[in-house]
Amino acid sequence: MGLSAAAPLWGPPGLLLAIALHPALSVPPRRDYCVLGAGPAGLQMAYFLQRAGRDYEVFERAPRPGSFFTRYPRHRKLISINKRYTGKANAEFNLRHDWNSLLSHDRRLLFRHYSRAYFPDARDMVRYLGDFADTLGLRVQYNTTIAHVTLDKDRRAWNGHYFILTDQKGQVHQCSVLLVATGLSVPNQVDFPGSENVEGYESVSIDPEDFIGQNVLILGRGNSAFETAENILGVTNFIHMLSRSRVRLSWATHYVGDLRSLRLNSGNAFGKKYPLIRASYESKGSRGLFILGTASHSVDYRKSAGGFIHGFRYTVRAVHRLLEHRHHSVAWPATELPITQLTSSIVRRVNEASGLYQMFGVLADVILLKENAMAFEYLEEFPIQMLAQLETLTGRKARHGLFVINMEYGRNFSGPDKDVFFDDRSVGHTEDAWQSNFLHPVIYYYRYLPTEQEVRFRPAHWPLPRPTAIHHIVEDFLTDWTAPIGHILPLRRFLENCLDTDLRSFYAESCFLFALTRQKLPPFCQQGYLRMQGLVSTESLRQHRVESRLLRDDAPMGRDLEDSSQHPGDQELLGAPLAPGPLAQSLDSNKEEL
Amino acid sequence: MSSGFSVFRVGISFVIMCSFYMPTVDSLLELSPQKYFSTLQPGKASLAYFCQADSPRTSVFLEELNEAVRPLQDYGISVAKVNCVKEEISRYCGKEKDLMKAYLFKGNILLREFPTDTLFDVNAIVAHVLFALLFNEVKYITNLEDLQNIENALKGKANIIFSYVRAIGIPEHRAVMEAAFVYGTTYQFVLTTEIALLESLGSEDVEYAHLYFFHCKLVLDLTQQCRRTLMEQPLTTLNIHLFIKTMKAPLLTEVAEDPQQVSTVHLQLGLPLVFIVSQQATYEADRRTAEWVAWRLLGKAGVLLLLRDSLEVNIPQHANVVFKRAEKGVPVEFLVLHDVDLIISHVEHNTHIEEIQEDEDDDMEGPDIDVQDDEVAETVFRDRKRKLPLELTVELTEETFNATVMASDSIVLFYAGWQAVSMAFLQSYVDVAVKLKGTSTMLLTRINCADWSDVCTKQNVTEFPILKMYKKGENPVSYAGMLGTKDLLKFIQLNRISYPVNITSIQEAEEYLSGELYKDLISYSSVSVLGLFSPTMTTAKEDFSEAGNDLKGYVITGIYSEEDVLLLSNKYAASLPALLLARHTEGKIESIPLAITRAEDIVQIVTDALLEMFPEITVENLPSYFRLQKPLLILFSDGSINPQYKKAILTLVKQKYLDSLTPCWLNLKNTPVGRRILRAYFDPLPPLPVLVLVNLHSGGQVFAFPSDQAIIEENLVLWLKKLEAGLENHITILPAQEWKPPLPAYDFLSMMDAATSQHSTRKIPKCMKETDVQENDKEQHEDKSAVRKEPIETLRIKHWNRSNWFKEAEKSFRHDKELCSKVN
Repeated sequence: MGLSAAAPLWGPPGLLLAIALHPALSVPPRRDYCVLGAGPAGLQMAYFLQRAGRDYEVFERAPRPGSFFTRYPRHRKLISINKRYTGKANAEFNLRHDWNSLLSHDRRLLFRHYSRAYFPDARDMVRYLGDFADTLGLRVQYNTTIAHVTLDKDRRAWNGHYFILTDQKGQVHQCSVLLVATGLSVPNQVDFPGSENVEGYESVSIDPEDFIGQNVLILGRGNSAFETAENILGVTNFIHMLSRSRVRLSWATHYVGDLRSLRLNSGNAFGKKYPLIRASYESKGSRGLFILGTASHSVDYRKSAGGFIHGFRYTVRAVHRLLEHRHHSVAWPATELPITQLTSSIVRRVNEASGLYQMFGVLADVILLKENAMAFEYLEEFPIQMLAQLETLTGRKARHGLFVINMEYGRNFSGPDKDVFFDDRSVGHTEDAWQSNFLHPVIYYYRYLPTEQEVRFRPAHWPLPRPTAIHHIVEDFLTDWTAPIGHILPLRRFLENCLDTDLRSFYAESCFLFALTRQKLPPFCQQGYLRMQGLVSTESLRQHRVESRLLRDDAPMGRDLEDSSQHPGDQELLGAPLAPGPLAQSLDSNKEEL
Repeated sequence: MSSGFSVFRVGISFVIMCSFYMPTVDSLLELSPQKYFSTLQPGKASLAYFCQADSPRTSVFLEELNEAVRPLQDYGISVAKVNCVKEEISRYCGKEKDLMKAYLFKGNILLREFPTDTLFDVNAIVAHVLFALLFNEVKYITNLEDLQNIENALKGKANIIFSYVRAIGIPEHRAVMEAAFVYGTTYQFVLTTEIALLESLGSEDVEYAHLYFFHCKLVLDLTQQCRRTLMEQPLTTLNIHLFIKTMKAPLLTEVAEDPQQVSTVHLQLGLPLVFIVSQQATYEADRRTAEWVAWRLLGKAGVLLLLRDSLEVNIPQHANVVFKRAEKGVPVEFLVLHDVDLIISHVEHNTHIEEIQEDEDDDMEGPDIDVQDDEVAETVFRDRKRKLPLELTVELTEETFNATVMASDSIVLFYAGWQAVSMAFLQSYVDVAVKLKGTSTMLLTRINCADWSDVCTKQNVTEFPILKMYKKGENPVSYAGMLGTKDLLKFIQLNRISYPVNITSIQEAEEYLSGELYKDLISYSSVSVLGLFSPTMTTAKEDFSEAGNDLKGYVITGIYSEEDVLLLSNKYAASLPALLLARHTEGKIESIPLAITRAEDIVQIVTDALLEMFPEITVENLPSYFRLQKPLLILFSDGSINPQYKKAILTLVKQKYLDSLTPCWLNLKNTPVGRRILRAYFDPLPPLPVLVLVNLHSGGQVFAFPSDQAIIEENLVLWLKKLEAGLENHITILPAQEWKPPLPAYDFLSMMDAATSQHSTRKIPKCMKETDVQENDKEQHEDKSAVRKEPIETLRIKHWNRSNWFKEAEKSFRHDKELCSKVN
């Protein structure tokens, strides 16, 4: 009896001890998300994690964010533009000309409040990043150098393993997802006779005095090389510049990393410099390891702006959205709209979206059609190389066809050695839109979600597999794609022919006429008028309507229906047994080819 | 060897096309006065615009003039811009910049001078110039007497083409003049712009251009009127040409061959053929019938008399009409039609399945995919220069948005400046602001989401236009009514008070129900709803309040739940909880028991109760009745409805004869579009009023109450019974076609493919594309857009093909000559 009473007394204390000892000895503090580096990309990711209420921690080697910018660029001038006045109020649009701000809901955290210079000073960037972290209350552990990372297999972990990070003090952190945003720090080692005399960009003297009267060989012809050359030009005997490829000027290649005036990174041996990652920015080797920021540039290297703040702020957001779905069942954000808003929603995005514009060819908007094409979901800035996996990555369904909205330069335009100022480089006619040279919206239509095979073996120079149909919105120097005839009308015709429907808008009076003289109504009347939200025309518009009867296929508005049923335009409008339109025909032939 | 030859041949065509492509030919000549007068040739017409150097106001005119160069050249008229320079003074050079004019010369004789504002666009230029040149061929008249004189003078001699256009210089006028250029020697053209003259001919829809063919040549008896045929297609050059062609074709042809093999000019013009089958025994009568049919179908179909007895092929025994469509390869239809009207309606419902061949590759006449066919976009674009009194609405920005909507009760219109529907609604919105000016406590504001996209997104606005009401202490409410002045005004006015109104005394309740309490509001809501609850019915009251809130802006709602509520409920024979519905226009108060109490059910009950038993159907209210999914019984009335008809129908409603239908009436004066609806149902139009049953939701059949019967209860009941028993024939079936894309799109994929297969796209001369295009053409137009893509020169060749029809007037030799000289 006494024994049995004593045993329970002894048991619990032993258990308690074990629990107390365990964390200190074997179970390190665990985080869902660990971010390495409090540079722009790391802070950007921290922001999204914070907003989503996730469990995360940022580890930063330095005592303050953005330590890179305390040393680089050596000559203190950033190459990213800071255009403070664009002539437009649209905040999203203005980000197209603001290459330094990170994304946040806080208007005060726009870079234009930190610098007036078009090419700002690096010190302003340091100040900006510090404010960004502080104002938003991001969780950053400063003065923490992660010395090494190991994997700890665990079936219960999100990705089948935990990332074990050990810092300089031997402190261990366990992470479910590891987001590496450390930038690039290892320069290429060049081996050649005399290489012992090589001074790296990271340590080269910025005092021109040090080079007086010397012969200098500069390896590489990137922005850093020119930056250095320019700096010492006045004092040296000879400057030789040597690199594997010819000089590339960014205005000839549209690649901001090509020579503009200054540049941050060195060399161009791409294979060594960038880690191997997927188009979803996840490491090919270990699931749950993502590369953010400059280091993620391999996805779009030499094509888009993913290596720069104005690019990776969007790719970071895309990664965050992928993670939200993968680990928290939050589907990729989407707006569901009636089909009558299809043309408008595309016009709106191509005119203002910054992510599409900066990360052209990498991030694209996706429109997923609903059954019968009466509604659609609009997804913004999806990494298009992952298109085949869209359903699993986003939690959205693409069963009824989809559109992809991508921004592209003309295929004939860019490239070293091409004269960008050739005589007929700009295209003004809608029917020549496909030959547009400057960045312009291209819309791909797929009846079915492309497969991985199709994405992988897509035609050369195509960002996406061959679509069922394609539309180019003709280039515009001011990137203003709102012209009723030049931009919107051809877009509507394209969408109509893809969906085999009539996407025109009608006044209530026309809908009334259709409702009483036809068994079917066009979508605009179904989704507006019949729901008692018809568009009533004013007197002045009614006048114009009578006059516009001159329009060839304004047939339903013709003076009488008998009349209009004899009108050629009307026949097409009604879908009478006419020979299918050219697009419809070629769609079929494409299908055969595929 | 042979391949070498074909290369050579391609080379030749290439050369021809290149030499053909001479941009200077089409552009406006610029000459000095001296040089200009030296170019004038005897008998040749020439239009010259004298202008002083660099007067900015003339640039729009010059653009239009430049566009007119080519069409005028087709008529042998040269066009030049004469630069008045100081050294050379010509009397045609005006003294001031504003007074510059264009002059039309024939040889060196001045025919007319035109102030530039009469030549406002390319149509006006062509129309005016031809009008001046064809002074003798086209008689301009202003009254009926002139017309009768011309008619009398030409009886037995020539036919007349009479047209009415709204104004000189508009596209229809140009079309008539172009036709007159070709046919002016064959027919007498008569033109008027007097609407009264057109009306005196008994034309309908006088707001549009009209063209009549007067068959005067046949008339031998001078007291007899010339028969008239109205052209039903819109007035375009091509349509007029086709119309005249059909007028020229023999009225009736006799044939004795297989109908499948017969072809006449009608088929070429895309019109069907109607064969009236005749036998020897009935030949005379058949011929008379056929002639009668032929007159009725003139311009719509060719009519032939098919002599069965001498026919080698067999046609079905009973068939008395054979119908042959214009499309190739469609078998002929053998029909048994015992009524001439049935023949006519069969034709009218089956014509023009295919557009006319000529039209297809004709950029100017055919539907052009670059031409706006969205009525909202087009009208908004046409109206873009009109200045709206926008200052009556406050424009918000990111900075002012929150402060404004917090500070006062506001309506915000979220729109996008580039979106047509938004901009059309903005007009109604501004109209409302004009109507409310100075009277409303509600601030009318707007925000352009094209500029302030973030604000709109934050307000959850993802589509345009959206209208929201912001009231202090309440969640913003989205407006869900018609996007028009009337309903929006109602919404704003009714929202001056909050709903449901709390009624606190019996007396107040009576005032509320009589409409006294909100006298100024009941013009916006003809029904007031009062919820009656005993004080303890808390959940029912809450639900009703929620419903009242949902209905705010659409109907007036009030609530009464004092201790003495029984006094009210007893008075109106209602058991609590209940709704009282006061219909102010009829002065009636109904009670509805409120057994179910969910808010959305209450909303539904009220919405249903708002429907009338026999409403006047309008553009605005049709949707509320349409959603009942019942066939509509519509009485079309020209003006207000005869009270007797109304009584008859209301009696039937009360006797439950019309439960499966939605009876309503349509006032053509208030809803003019009703006339177009009638035309879709009837041909010819019956006298009004006319009662029609339209089975909108299942089958689309339209039945007409016999027009020879009086609209009285007994007849209606009988007719409805016959309908139910399936003994009535429908007069028409509404088309059930889906709404397909109105026009094709550019097929860029094919263009890109074509470019890739040629490896180089840029470096080839433009003319090379010519040959591709022709090959494509052979491939069954597989790529229409590529055809469109072709450079202008191909369009010009086609343009000439199109103008082949000018040949009959022996005026086209000029083109041929021109072609040769260009090739040389």
